Amino acid sequence: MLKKILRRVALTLIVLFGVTIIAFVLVRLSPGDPAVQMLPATATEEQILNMRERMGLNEPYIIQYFMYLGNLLKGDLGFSFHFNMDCGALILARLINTAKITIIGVLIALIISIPLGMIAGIKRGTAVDTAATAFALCGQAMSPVWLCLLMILIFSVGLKWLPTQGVGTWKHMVMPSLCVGFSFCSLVTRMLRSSMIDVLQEEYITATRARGISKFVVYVKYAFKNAILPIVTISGAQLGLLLAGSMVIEQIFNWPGLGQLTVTAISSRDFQLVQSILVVVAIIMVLCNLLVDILYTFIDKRVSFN
Amino acid sequence: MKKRSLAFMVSIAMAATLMGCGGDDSASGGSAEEPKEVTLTIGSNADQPTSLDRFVNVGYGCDDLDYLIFDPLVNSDHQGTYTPGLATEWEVSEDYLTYTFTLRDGVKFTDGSEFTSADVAATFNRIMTDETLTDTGAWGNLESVETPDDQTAVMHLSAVMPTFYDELYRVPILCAAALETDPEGYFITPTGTGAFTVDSFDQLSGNTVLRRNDDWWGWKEMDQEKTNVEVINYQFIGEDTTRASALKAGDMDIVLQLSMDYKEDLESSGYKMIEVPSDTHIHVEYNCAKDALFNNKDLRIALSEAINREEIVNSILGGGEVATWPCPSSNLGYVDNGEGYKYDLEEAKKLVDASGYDGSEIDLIYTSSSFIRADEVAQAIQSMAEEIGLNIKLEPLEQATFTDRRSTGKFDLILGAFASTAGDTQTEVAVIIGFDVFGSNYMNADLTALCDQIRVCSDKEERTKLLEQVFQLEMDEMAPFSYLYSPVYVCANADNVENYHIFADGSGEYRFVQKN
Repeated sequence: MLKKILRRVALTLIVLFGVTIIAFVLVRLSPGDPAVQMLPATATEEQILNMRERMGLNEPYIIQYFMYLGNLLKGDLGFSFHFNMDCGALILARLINTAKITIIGVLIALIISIPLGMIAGIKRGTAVDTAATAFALCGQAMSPVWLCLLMILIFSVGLKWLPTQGVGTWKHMVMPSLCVGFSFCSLVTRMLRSSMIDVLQEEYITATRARGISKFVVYVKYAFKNAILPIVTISGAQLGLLLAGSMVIEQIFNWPGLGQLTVTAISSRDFQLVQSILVVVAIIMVLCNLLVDILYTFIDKRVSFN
Repeated sequence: MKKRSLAFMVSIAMAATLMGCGGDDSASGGSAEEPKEVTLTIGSNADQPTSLDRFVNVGYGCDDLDYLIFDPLVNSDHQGTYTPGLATEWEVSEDYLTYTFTLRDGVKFTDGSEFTSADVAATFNRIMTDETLTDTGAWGNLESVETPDDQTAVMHLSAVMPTFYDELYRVPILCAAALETDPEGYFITPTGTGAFTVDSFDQLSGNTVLRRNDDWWGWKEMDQEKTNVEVINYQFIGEDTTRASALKAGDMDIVLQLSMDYKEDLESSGYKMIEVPSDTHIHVEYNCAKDALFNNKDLRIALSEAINREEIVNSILGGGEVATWPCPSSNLGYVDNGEGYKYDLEEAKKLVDASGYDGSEIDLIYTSSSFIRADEVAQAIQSMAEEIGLNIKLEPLEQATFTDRRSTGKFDLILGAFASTAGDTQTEVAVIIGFDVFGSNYMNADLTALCDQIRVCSDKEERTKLLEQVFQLEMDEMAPFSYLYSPVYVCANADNVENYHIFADGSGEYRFVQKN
């Protein structure tokens, strides 16, 4: 198992190498001079040239790339000229903020969606199933912007229970976490419902019931264990995407996360920061996929790591 | 039975959680008997600063914070009147190249050290020598700072600097010793002489917590009542709706730069609205290059005459100052000529017909975020231009792409904005127009000559006359800009907040604010 994991890590490094090339090329293909972006509109030509020199933009592209790669291999993600600080520290701080609302949001989503999806699948065709499906459809159809603003209107302006925006206390995390988890909750509810319906129609389920095993044990120990596999896959992919930062939610709640940082980095043409964010996000996605693959082998013994 | 017990326990848990969420915030903050600090929370939409260094961060947000933490040599009403700050007196030589300041005695920095001329020298030497600073272009003519004694600072210029005082009040005086000890960390928790000190500055969000400095010299020397606010919490919130909601939720006391959309709702909810005419003006810039469409003066005039400025200000913005001259009415060089920009569709159509315009697409580029309602204003211009037969294609661009297109001349028209400093249009005329920084390619020998004269003219009266001539020429030639309007800054505050002031450049005076 360990050997297999190590082989996966090695393959991952090749993928990440490709990501660094793509990130490097993409940011340089976009229009706009980073040096001009850093300076006021009235900057002179000399000031622009000096800034380009400071940012290392006067070097040939190949030199710029290998300098960046060399630093990356030493764990140095570069320097953000816009924020005037080390990219690594900046990304880490923002990632932690995004991770807070993502993990809480996903946990809440799973706590709600798993029982809901299970019950909807078990009680197919009943009022519970209809309500769960309606909830899932609403969640998927609802615009995150609308949801965020609605929550602010109700919980901050109306009830004055929660702060409108920013960071500080646990109360600041509630609304952003709920917004992050909401559409994920809907997705999992629908998928688990479909999955449960499929599994419950299998012959081995009928056989377990025929042996006198209670419904609760059948649903939880036998049906759910098989129905959960697609949920594990989707959760891994979604977790990676959510950790990359929800720009809309972070903007509305003024939550200083990775999504907000990405938008600022791109608009200010902070090359090193954009490249480093892309690399970090790629690492996150790869790790999430790896985690999913490992979990699979524990949930379903028939599945090997390969 | 087991299921019912489980359901009951879950219900109790949820009820307990809801009870914990609810209730007044004040009840959750410790003993009800302890007197609470008077805290003022300000929500700004300025660009979030990455440090408290004015010369690295552009925007009124950093200006607001620096006015609270530091003092400049002179204070200003941001409209050309200067009063003593850290300097009590000053004189200028006849050639406008030497400025001598007598410094205020008995002023201390928040670390207890005395303020002396060495701090003035260190501040300006940094501006002259530190190449990492990005907003020091205005001080290009500063040659040296002499300190004959602790209470005197003499600044020498290599060439006249007409906007000397306008730029001087924007220079916060730093503590030389603290800066030398910790140059990296100085602008995270700076040491200043100002009315407030920095409790914390969050580099991730720009949010700053300031605490009143009871030893500030200004509480006695300046003719205003000391603020009763002990803590100022200055936050950067880009989203308009979030800022307005934060005010209504009681999370904010003052919110800055809202659009007029929020006025009715907030006023009816009991909040005070402040409308401040700004120093910003919105304009259409023409690409006047030799082979460009708008090298043709008739077409420039035609487009200008097709734009109904009043309609834009009233219907789209809900308020503002319609441009009648190439600068806002409060700015230096303004002339009320009684005519303003003509609106005449019939004449405009005739000019288009006479120009030989073939109906080809005209690219109008702009950024949606550069000013409020930019998209709607652009669409209005497109629609109005269509009435006279001009085929405008709108291209909203993000900032970096917009800057790139403008600097490389890849546009026919630009919808843009520019703000003067302290009501002085010097920079716009001498630099933007004089050096054609915005790439209009407009060539006019008379205009260039006037701009050259303005650049070296320090006498305010003479400069005013020259500016008036430049603006008249701009009106006659309708180049390089055709001005549309000056927006109004709309700010709102809770009804228990008073005695603060918003200036036309968007920055504010909060040192003497009262919160009842």
